[in-house]
Amino acid sequence: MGTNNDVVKKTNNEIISENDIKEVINKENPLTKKRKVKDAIANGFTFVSSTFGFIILGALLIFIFRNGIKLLKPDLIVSDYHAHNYTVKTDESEVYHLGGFIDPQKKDSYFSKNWGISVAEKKNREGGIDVVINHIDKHSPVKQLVQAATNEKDLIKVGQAIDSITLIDENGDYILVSSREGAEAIINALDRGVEVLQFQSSVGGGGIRGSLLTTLLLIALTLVIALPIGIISAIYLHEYAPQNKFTDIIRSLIDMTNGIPSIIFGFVGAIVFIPMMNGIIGSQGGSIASGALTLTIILLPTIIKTTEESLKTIPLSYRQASLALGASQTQTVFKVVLPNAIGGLLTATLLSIGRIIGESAALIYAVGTVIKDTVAINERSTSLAVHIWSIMAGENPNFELASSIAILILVVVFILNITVKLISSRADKTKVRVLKEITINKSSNK
Amino acid sequence: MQIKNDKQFKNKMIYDNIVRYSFLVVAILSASTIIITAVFIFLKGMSPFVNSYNIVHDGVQGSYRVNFFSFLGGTTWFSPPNNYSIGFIIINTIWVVLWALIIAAPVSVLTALFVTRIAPKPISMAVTYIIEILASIPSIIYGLFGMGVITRFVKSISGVFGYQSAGGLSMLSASLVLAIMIIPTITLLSITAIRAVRDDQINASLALGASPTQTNFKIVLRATKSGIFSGIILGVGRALGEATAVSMVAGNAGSGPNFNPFGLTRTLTSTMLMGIKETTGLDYDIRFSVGLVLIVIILLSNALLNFAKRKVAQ
Repeated sequence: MGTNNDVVKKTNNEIISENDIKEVINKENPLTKKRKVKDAIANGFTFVSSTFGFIILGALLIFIFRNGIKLLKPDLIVSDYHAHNYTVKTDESEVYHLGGFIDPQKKDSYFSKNWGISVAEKKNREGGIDVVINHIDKHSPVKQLVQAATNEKDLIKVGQAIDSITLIDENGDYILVSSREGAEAIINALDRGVEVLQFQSSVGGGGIRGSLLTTLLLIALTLVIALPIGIISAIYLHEYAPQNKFTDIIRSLIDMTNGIPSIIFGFVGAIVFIPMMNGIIGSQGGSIASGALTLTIILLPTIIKTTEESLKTIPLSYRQASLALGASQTQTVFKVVLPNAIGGLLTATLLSIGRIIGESAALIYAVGTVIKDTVAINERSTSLAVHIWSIMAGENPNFELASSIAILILVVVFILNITVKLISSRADKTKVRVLKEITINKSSNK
Repeated sequence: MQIKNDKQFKNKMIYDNIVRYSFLVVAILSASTIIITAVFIFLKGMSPFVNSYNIVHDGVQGSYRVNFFSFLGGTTWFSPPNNYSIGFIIINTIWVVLWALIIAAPVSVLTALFVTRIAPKPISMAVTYIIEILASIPSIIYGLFGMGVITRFVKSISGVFGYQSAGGLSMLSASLVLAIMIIPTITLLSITAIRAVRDDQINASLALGASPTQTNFKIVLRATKSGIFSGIILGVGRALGEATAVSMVAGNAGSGPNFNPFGLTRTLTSTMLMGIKETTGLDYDIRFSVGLVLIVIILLSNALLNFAKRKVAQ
């Protein structure tokens, strides 16, 4: 007994502080210094590793914005990818009045007195130089040039870029000039020439209107097909399915779909959905419809999982209360469970949209890589991501245009990401509130 | 009144059952996509070995099929008229993914450790958010980044070593792009695993006099081995199946295998995606056979890694 008391007294008297321990360790343990150095190095490694993500994201954003920001203007989104070309020549039956036109004195422009047309150099989306018409006189003979096949006149307009001109001068010699030689050379040639054999110009081109429309169409069509199937499957698995082997098999089959790379589903699109759609809607080869079906099977596991997760958070008491009031299970599912799972459904939708916008490999097989300006459900065209693929995989990769599209994709993906985060944090808050209410009710019942 | 209620009840039950069974049909439809995928890929993928294709070779039209065994071996992708082989492509693919993993796994695990156990909360949240953003960036954008930045970086490195690389298109570029793409996957899973380590294990280690850093490396990491392995399994699956970004930086070598980091390479997915000219015929169908091989390799690597995971966990 006595000895025990002594021990207690001792510990009470000598309360060991943290500093004491440190002192002891520093004095008596020769390994401590070595250990400190080792620890610092190890911690340094973890720190360096964690800066890796920051560096990559930074480099990626800098690269894409530096290349793409120049082209990112409203006209990129509204204009066509393929330029409209005009080829016209002098109409033999008309009399032309050359010369005597007054220079409008436009900035950085060259003016042809003979033809009454003013041009300037402008950088285009491919990074080259365009010679763009910025003024045509009211009585300019250029307006009288005729398109050989259709006899149409007045085709050359302000805003078009001159590609090449072939003229005949006073001596009957040919003059050939193209936009590569610059605006000044074109005007010089025009002033020497008296008759136009061929005048080629083009307008527009390099825009992404078609691909943007395709992407929106793909999103709409895929969601219309995939959301009902996914949500209903999730409801069945969580609300109706009995716990047996068969349900387990269904569940594991759906899980397996998640691990398969999307290019394999692109193959399925090519083997199954393209022929199917050729038969049903009369498409020839890949189409937006076959792409949407392919995206549907890619998205189903995500939609089912997200929906099921949100169904899990709904308290069982909600369902019991509904059933106890005499509602059938179907009524309970549609009037009690689904309205409470709306956050999960929204998350599933947003995740799906992000996936559709980013998907490329599957769509290359299931839809095709042909960039189109007129978009139809039963025809090939490219989504924005495949548009990047098409212009990068060719002989002359176009970094500027690809980066501008990448900026658009990234902005949308980031916005979706943040929204999903906000929704899930709000859902967590409501979960906490629900739990609190339940505990309060329980305690008040007691 | 009683009878009427009974009838209502019965109707409700019938309606309930109709809904239940139609929902069951939809669920079976969702589950059957994987079976449809497997069946059709198998049938189409086996077609070049079973069916004959009409090919004009040296001006003579002949009927050809592909030999299954020379398809799986061989060091040249295509020599006319019907000799396709992917032996070297399989080796290249595994080599590229292996190096991606060697680069990505340490970075991911250390990042996860930093985020969960070392960094103060605001920094930890910022790093986690950056990793989540990286995880959500589509592969085509990584491909673009790879073509614009990583290939140039690799080209300048290869110059230092005295190699001539084809504009930076190389095995190293492919591995780096894949590493960047699987780091978020492995990191996020490792973070979850480390967060699940029990506090009493950590406290016991600290009480025994181990420093926090020693605890992190010797106790926490050891306890999360199987979680990290799950991340690696997912990462390897993603790396093997990644198509777009790899095709843009691999260079699509015609023959191999290539172990030189600065040499051109060719993976199964880049073979599937590049150089498609027509949508019929042997040259198109053979790509489905490549896809079939890819699925088999993914399943095999999954099984192997799961086996390793169980061994490690013991």
